[in-house]
Amino acid sequence: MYRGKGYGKEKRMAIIEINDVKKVYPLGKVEVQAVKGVTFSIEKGDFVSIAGPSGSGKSTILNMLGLIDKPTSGEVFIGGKATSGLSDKDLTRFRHEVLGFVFQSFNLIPVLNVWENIEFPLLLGKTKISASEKASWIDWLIEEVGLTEWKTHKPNELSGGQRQRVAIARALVTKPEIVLADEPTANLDSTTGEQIIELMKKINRELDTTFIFSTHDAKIVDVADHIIRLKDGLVIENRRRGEDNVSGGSRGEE
Amino acid sequence: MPVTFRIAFRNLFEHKSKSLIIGILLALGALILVVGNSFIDASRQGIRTSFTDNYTGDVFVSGVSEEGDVSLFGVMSVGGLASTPVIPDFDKVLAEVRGSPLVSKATGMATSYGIVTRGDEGIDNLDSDDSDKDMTARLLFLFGIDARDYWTVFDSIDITSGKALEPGQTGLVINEEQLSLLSKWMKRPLNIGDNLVVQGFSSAGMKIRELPIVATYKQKGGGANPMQMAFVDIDTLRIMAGMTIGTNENIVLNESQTAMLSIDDTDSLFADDLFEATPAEGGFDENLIQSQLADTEAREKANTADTGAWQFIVIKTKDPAGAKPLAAYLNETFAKNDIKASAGDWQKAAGPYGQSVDVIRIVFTVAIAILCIVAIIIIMNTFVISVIERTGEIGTMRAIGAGKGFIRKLFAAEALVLSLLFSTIGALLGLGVTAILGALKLEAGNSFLEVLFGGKYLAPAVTPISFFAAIVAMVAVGYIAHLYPVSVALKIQPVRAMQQD
Repeated sequence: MYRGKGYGKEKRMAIIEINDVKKVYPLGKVEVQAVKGVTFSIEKGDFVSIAGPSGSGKSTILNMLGLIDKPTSGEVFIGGKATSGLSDKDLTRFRHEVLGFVFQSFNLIPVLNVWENIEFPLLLGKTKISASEKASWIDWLIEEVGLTEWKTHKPNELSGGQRQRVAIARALVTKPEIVLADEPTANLDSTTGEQIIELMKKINRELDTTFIFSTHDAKIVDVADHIIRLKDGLVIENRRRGEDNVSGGSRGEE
Repeated sequence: MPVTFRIAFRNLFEHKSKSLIIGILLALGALILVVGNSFIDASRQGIRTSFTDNYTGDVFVSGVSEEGDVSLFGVMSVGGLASTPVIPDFDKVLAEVRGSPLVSKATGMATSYGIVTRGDEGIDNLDSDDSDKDMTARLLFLFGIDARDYWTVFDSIDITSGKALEPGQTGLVINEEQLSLLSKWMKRPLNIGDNLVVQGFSSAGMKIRELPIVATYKQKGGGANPMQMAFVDIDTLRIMAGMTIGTNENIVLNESQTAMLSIDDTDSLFADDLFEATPAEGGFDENLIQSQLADTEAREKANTADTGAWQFIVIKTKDPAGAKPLAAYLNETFAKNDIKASAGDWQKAAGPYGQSVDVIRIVFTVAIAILCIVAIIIIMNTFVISVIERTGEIGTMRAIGAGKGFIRKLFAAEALVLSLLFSTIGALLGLGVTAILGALKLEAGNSFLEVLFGGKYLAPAVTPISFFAAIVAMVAVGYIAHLYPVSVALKIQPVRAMQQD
């Protein structure tokens, strides 16, 4: 069951918790409060949408969840572990082993082909897997994202949708518990965008990987099991599909 | 292949213009290093062969001077040309040299400078042209040789006309090209048997001798040689160089002379008692004066060669590799027996000529160092631009789990791949350029180029060491140039991945 009031009957484990997180950016001589004290938790295996208009703070929250940015105050817990005191080395290891990333602009390495781009994260860690095991796993992922015929192609030979599929496969290759996707459909047409979300949903079901994606597209938001809606750096809605608003959210709302 | 090198190789072709900018610089550097070093090596080898074969042998023994280093060209001191010391206990030293199993042949010699005169200097009405002002035609560097064995020690000297000096014979063996220059200056053809008036000068003063030209020579090897070198019999040389009996004798002063030199107050020299109170009876004693003037002993001594005086021993070793241990052995022996002599290699003997190679190498090294600094700055800037352009890519790598070490390795691999590839291309081009220059057999137009070319013709040769050293040097340049850009790359935060367009 989702932690907090009003969630399903089955008790589920929170894989991510963020507690009164604030983020302030200096902009010249003034300070901009991008996130103004946000608290929520996400359960393992959830398909979560962080929704809101531009400037609402969704990318900032996603960056902090992905440990690529640090909160000005508050704490981010991943798998129950506080991340604020971690060294750069530990954060890197965490990102490599626990998290997967899908970027709005795909962010593939231009000189590597599809297969190599997906393989790349496996070459960064210390975990050794046999060449045959690695090959069969990557081939399975490529098949899963529907790019078997394109695996030797470079990113510039692929369409936007195909590139995002590669990015999804790359995010999954290290078998992370959480995949974070920052507006994964923003650079795609609506049909392709829907296909990408469907693909993410399918993998979420098959591998029980927690997916957290940010979007401002209302149609895509509705696909999520758990919706966290932001406005002006505050959570204005935090609910699972078909359920009421849950506790957490912004301090001001509690 | 590690992923870092895979990415590095592909980035090389992906960013062609940047790769070319960096690559051309590195290739150019390697090319200049290979070609430049081939010139210097050829020059050094040419001068070395020329001197060891024709003048200095493999090992050179000289006396020791406190004024400066002793070479065949004399002792260059701060105050100018100092006296060249003779080898003390020459016979003992020569016997020691010849007794070494490393030695093939050895001979004694001495050197001095001479200027040919034609007896018309200062006459205004004589036709004058450029050759009159050209000192190179008149200047001779005189080698006083032991005709008994010099020609067998230096068998690379080819007598082109006349006959080589024989023991006891007085005369001059002159370079055939120098003779033609002299003929031009003398405004008359000079032939074997003609006499030349040579004014010898050394730290001991000047002496003029009329010397017959007995032969002309050229070097068989045709290396880089000062053509002013001329061979003369040792006794004539000794006189011209001031190596006479009188020179080596101690001057004995009588009591009054010693007292006069010890006076501190110079005014007292002109005191009332300067002259004897009583002049000699009967005025000047003419007979006494005549007898004093008739005594030519001192003059004869000054003009009589000191037959035991030798400035140098030049040694040919059985194997050139034996030169170093032989010199070390001889120096040890001299030190043990308290003989003020010193043994060294051809470069010590060649003096300024030997040093010219080092000077050229220093100038070249400084020029290359400046070029390298410029190259490092340009390459560094290009790498920094590349890092800035790839901020998103680096941020992505960091976001998906690449540590700083990986980013460091990635850029090091790119720098190494780029510098290794292009410096190898540059070195190979250098090899090609040297081969073409060698095949063209370019002739040295002047004496400076002769020294630079190491002979009459340009014959550069690339040694494996200089080839690989050029590559290593340029790889080092590439590696150094990447250090700052990589520090910029390491500052890129993973969050920058989100800002990639």
